[in-house]
Amino acid sequence: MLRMEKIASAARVHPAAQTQLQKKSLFSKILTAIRPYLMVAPAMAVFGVFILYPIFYMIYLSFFDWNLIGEMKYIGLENYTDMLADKDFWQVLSNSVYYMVMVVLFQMVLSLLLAAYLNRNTRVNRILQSIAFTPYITSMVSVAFIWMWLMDSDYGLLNYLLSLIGLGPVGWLSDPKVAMNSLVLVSVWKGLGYNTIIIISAMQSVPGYLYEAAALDKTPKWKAFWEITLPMISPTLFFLALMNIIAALKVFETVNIMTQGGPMNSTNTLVYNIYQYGFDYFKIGYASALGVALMVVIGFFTLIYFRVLSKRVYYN
Amino acid sequence: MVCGYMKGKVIPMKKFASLCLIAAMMVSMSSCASEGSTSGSSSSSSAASETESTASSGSGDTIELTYWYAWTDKIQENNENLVAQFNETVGAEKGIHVTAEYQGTYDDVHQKLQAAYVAGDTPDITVMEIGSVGTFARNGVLQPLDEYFERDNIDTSDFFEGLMINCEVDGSYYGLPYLRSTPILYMNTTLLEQAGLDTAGPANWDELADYCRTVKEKTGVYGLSMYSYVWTFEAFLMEQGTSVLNEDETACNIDSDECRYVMQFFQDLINEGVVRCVAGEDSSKVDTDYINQNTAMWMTSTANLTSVLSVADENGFEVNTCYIPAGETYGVPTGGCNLIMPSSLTDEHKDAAWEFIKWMTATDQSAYASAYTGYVPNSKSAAATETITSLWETTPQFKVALDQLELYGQGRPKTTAYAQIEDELVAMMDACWVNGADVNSTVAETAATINELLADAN
Repeated sequence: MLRMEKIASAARVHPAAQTQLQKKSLFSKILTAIRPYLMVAPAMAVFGVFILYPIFYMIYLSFFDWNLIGEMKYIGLENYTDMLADKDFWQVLSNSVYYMVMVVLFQMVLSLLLAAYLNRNTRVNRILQSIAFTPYITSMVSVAFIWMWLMDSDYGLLNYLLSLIGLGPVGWLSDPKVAMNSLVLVSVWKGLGYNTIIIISAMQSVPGYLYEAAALDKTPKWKAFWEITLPMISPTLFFLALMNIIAALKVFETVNIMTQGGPMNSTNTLVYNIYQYGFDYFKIGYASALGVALMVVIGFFTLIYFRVLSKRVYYN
Repeated sequence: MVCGYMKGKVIPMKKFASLCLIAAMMVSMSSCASEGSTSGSSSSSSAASETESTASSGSGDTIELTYWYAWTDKIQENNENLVAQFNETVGAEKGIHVTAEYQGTYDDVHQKLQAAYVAGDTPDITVMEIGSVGTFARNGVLQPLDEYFERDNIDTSDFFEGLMINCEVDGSYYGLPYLRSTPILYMNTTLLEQAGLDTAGPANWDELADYCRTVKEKTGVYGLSMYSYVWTFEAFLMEQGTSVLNEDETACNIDSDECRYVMQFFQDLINEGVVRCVAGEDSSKVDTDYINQNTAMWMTSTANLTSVLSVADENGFEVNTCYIPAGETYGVPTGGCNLIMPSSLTDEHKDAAWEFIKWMTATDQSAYASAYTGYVPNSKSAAATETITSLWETTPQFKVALDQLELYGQGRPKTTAYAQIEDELVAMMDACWVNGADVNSTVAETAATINELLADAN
């Protein structure tokens, strides 16, 4: 704007032409002002229609007793009080948190170790990286079906291999004490490659002179990893862990295909529970209340995570 | 496993490939269909407006109807065949054309129907698992059919009584019985002969226990393979002279001596190792058990009979069927689906949909469907047709389910809370029969939860 005025005054144009220019500049002023909003409008429209509106509608629905086809009955906070008094809800919640903690823990530790191992840029490592990445690009539904067959207690490959070394059959998906861990295994197996690749790329962007300096000081390798690599890639680890936490709390496909929440509710997670109430029992209000609970839980963990860990992250 | 009534969504491996193929076909078919019907129409948001505009755009006065059905394999073929027959005969005559659309399991049909109803875009006719008729009818989704019954003098007494129970809700009829079934006991008689047992099958629970023990002892395989299945559980309770819910569906009869006896009876046999029970979501294991001759007996819907006979033929063993063995008495719930139409249709579509429902459940069609799949014929006149009587001569296994139904068939609960109650029952069976939990405490806990659900629903 300023520049325009300067040019205009520098040219010492006729007053009429000047107002013309000023008009133009007013127009472009408006244009400049609204351009960013125009640009983000389509994205915001989609966000509003498919994310914001459903969130508020869900909160609204959670105050009603509704089966989707009958009359909506306002019941205030009853869905919430029912939910908090229901021991199944607490079991489902603790299942979800257990799943999340296990997945994130194993995911991060294993992918960090794998990344440290695959970091050197050799041809073999590039091939290994591609192999490790393959599960990530495979559809979750296929992955769930394949693991379901591998984990079959009678005819599955895993139990066959165990039987070769004389171990009894494990009810991978039918034993309530084991089933949730089996789902954790599948999730870690599937996400490992993706996490590894991201960590490797972070490791490769650590400046080489840091390691050279460390080598001059005769720093042991594990110490260089601990003191240099980890702090330098901490923003990436922070991001990955957060994404893994959110994804793990939203797990659905494996539960739906492999266990349907069973045996004895041991693998029932929040999202699957929402699905059950919404589409099996047709209790839309209660399902919405569960949805609000899920939102709160995810928000809670994200907040804690930012509060506790963000201070320990090293940003350049 | 394809059956009359099944809660789980497990797709057996061997049918998975054909399912994919069918899905692909459905996609290509439906895209062709929509091209045809939307040409020359400005709005295609509802089935009604689609067909009206098609009609006005000059393709004659044909009314286009959509029909939803569940299950694949023989049941799917049966549905497609009958619809094709209808379109060629009565449909052509009366200017009605029906398009059949596969929707998955009964649960899938119900979920989609509910969403479709809210969106104002329902099919004109659909199958509905009998346990859900009450829920949908009480919420006004279903069209009462009483006036149509009257108009066309439908003889409800010709249909088997046990089958009409779940067609009626609060004094009105909401559907006619279509593919209906009862659970029956299937036996691998080749194994029973090896064990030196009578291939007519066990008549009561004591004999059932003896059969299981003898089979295990003589052949090494399980006597009975089962899974946590609400439908057969309902039968067990009926045979002990009680039922899952009391008559007005305000409380359950789970915390009773009868129920504890049922749970304990099977838990003992399971602990002995002569009966195997897998969790509800592992229902396909019962199929693999009988196919691999890893069990001598199993209980499933009569709807599977055609499939079971062909599997037995391929694998070189003989199969016989008999009633679910008696406890205090005989008793089984009926299952399967009725044909219904949504209340939101236009009058014109209701009339056309009624023609289709009437035709599909009429004598000859019912006989055809029964012979094709193994479902029971739905009426006395259908059971008396040449098709059925000659079938019974060659394969007497088909007759068992109907006899059982006629003599002992009962309805299923109608309460809207039943979907959730079923999950509680499956969890109870999983606990006692798969994970060895204590019967008394588990039963008491489950009963309390179910009573709460019923109190909420009423």
